[in-house]
Amino acid sequence: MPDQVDKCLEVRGLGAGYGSLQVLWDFDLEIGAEESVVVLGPNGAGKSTLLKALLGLLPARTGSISFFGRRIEGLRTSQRVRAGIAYMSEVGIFPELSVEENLLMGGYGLPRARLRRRIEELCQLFPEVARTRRGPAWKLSGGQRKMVGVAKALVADPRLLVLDEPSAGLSPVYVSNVVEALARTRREAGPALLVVEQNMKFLAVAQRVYVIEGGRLRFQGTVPELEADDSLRRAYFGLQGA
Amino acid sequence: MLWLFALIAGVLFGLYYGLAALGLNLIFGVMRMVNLAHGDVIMLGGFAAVLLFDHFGVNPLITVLLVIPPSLLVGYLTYYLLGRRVQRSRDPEMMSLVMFFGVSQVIEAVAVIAFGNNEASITSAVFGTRPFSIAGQGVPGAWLVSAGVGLVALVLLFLYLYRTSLGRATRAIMSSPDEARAVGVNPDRISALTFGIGVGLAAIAGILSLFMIGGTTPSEGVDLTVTAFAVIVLGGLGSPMGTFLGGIVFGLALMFTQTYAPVWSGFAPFAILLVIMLLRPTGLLGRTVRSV
Amino acid sequence: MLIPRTRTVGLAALSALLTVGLAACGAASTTASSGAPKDIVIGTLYSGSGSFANSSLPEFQGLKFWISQENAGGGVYVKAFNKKIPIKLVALNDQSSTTTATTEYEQLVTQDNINIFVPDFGSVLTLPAVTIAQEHHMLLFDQTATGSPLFTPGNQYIVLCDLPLSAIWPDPLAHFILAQHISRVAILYGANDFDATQAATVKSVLAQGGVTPVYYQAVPTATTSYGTLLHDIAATNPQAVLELGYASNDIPFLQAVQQGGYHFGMVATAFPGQEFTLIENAVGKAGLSYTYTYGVPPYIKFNNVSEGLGTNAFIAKFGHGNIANVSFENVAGYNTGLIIQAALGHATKFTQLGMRAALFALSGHFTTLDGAFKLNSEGGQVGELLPLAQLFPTATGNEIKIVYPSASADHAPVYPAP
Ligand SMILES: Nc1ncnc2c1ncn2[C@@H]1O[C@H](COP(=O)(O)OP(=O)(O)O)[C@@H](O)[C@H]1O
Ligand SMILES: [Mg+2]
Repeated sequence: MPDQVDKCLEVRGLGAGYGSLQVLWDFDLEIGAEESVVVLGPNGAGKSTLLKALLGLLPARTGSISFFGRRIEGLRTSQRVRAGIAYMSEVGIFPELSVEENLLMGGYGLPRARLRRRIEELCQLFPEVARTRRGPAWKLSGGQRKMVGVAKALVADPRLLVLDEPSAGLSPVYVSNVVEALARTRREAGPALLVVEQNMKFLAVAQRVYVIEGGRLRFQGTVPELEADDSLRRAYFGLQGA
Repeated sequence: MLWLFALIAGVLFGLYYGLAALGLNLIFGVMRMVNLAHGDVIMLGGFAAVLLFDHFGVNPLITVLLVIPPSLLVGYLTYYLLGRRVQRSRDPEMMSLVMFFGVSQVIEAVAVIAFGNNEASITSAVFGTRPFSIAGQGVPGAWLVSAGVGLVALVLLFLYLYRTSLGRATRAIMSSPDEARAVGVNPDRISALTFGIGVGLAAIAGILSLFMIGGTTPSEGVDLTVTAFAVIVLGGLGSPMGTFLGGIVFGLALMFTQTYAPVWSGFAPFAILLVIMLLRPTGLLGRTVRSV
Repeated sequence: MLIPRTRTVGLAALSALLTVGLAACGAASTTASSGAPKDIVIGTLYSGSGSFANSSLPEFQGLKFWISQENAGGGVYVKAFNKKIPIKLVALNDQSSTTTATTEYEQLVTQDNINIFVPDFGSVLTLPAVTIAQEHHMLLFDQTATGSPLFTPGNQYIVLCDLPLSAIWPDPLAHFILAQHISRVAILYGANDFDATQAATVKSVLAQGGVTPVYYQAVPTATTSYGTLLHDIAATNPQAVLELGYASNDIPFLQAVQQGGYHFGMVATAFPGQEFTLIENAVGKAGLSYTYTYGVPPYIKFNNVSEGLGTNAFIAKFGHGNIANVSFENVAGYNTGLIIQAALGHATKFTQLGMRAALFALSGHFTTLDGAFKLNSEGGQVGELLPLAQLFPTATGNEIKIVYPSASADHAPVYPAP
């Protein structure tokens, strides 16, 4: 089934939550191999919850998750990571570790030589990371943190890169930097990309868009299709005047 | 030169206190659990040394090595039997207090049955009765041995934490458990290992306590836990280096008050703890207060 | 002798709550029609666990031994009814907790219809019984709580049975120092009533002889590291060093003396006489040799007694002939029984104050294996004096010998220590 293998991720009817509070309901999501997808949604919509359920940081209450045709919803986080999913949380880094150690942790479990090689490659790709490499991570500025976070997530050479609000807390200039960096990884025939965001800027790297509201899927389609939807355009583009 | 002796004694005792508290902080840092049975493990380490010495003439320094494998095993199993359940409960910090309070009571009760209610010790003569001269001060050999063991344990622990992949993963969990899981760290494995290391450090401290605080007795666990807790709060929760600094501050406070105002010597270390908490709520080397 | 340690405070109460164990050894009895009770009910507490257990249990054993002796002979003679009446024991386990002890003392005096009220070992656990006894007009047969604050002029309901008031313990010790013409004396004592009263006594006796201590300091009762203190003491160049603490202080202190390689002409600590085996095991033979301590029964012997077994007979019967099987606490518990026996055997009225009056009448005319029984007006014990003992090395360990006052000495003191 070549069609199956082409698909990087296929999520069907996913539900998740915290204690008695269910946050994510019946969520469907598909990402093709090498495709990049942005999930848009307002604060509290359940974006982070979706990603945690994908990674297994939260158990899936309902539904299924297939990764390159393999069912993974029953696997532990460490097994999903080994299967090729890399994740940058909202925090994104270990503040108490050095930048170098953050990169090493990004490739936790990799053979030593390969790990070193990957870090050198990424330092070439992200000069900003290379510059701060020896220092402690807590000293980084917000933008540098995101760069290191992205680089850290890429160390393991994942097949799917999952980013939780890479724009959060950043000035517009830095947002452009991060977008640019992501575009760079795309040019290298990088991994499939799943970004959850409130910020429209990231649509620049998106081939398709999902909109999540109240924990449910509200829209899916291309960027032009999203722009064509009146109410969504008002909700997501209206505020972005500047 | 009373102050010079107090200074030397304070630092040497500080290394001992640091060692005695280190395991508690490591376990707290990784698992967010307060091991209230920590002092009881110290007590058991002391009895291990006494029994091996009394029955087989084993030198306490050999016992330091002998207790490591069983401690690792016991800690490892304890994590899987109790610790993991505690961590998965709704309120792990509170649950850990309740659970390990119970464990502490059980250990004490069993120790009373096994060893009787008495204070036990090994004669100090095993490390010689001729003091060593440091900066012109006669310092008991047993103190130097204890502080030396403390230093070696500290250096090994730091090599482990900062130079090995498992150690780095341990620090990653201390920094952020979810983030660590997200890069593929298996927290159970690291936690169990850390629990073993924490138990081992406590047992070693227990052996040394025979020479630093005179002996061991089944009921001393609670006091030792309280002292260890004061030291880790002083140094900063979750900071192993801070624990040693906290131990040294604690030791210096004790020895200087013993020298210049002995009657306050039980109170002074805790007074300093309070002052430091007011000035720097995260402890000497603690990081920003966490909101876990 | 009282608190072996006061370190465990906070969680002890909680621990007691979690595991309240009651060991009632027999129910209360009711009074027979003739006015004479069917049995004499003794109510007491013991510490089955916790920090006091190692002293409380042997003391309790001694008391139970006395009861079994009396009951084997048909009961204890009660003068008021001119007959022997069997003894019944109600004993509750306080687990070394003062909170539990307080509740259980209340229970003894309010619900268990006891005739004789005996507290647990030591000041800490006796203290709550003092007020309860006074409120309920029960005479408290205080066994081993010797701190002066327990005895007040207004309180008729306490007598100290088995040890002198701690203030007079060091009397022979201080006189020995003067007799040896020791002029440089260092005194380190625990900051608690028991040790502070002893220290004050030594200081005032020495002052009468014109000696002022070169070092006189209190340390917290919980102190366990003595190296720095000893260094500071040594800096004052003393001939005699006195450490007045509990066994849990004496052990680390004696360890520190050895560790630091200190050699003083005289080292005295309080507990090696009472807890000899324990302390010798902990600090080793060399750590105790030539040190001084309070001499207590069974090391001081009283074979010519007016009540109960003499020392040798007690060792034979209770200790199966071996003094190593007999601790001071065993003697103390047994002696408590003898004091009760004397009170019942001499009181013309079977009332609490009747028993008290009988004991005051006997005071000064009465000797047991614990020494001469003598009360002051507040019920404090001023007989049963503790002579000074010194420990001498033998092939196998140390031996306790009484060295002062000369009248009761069985060995000459060796000063300065070799
Ligand atoms: N750890 C948690 N425990 C309980 N509720 C949570 C937790 N994390 C998030 N939530 C709740 O779940 C909902 C969605 O949160 P989240 O997935 O973080 O939203 P988003 O990332 O889209 O801002 C919110 O209502 C939030 O309050
Ligand atoms: Mg979020």
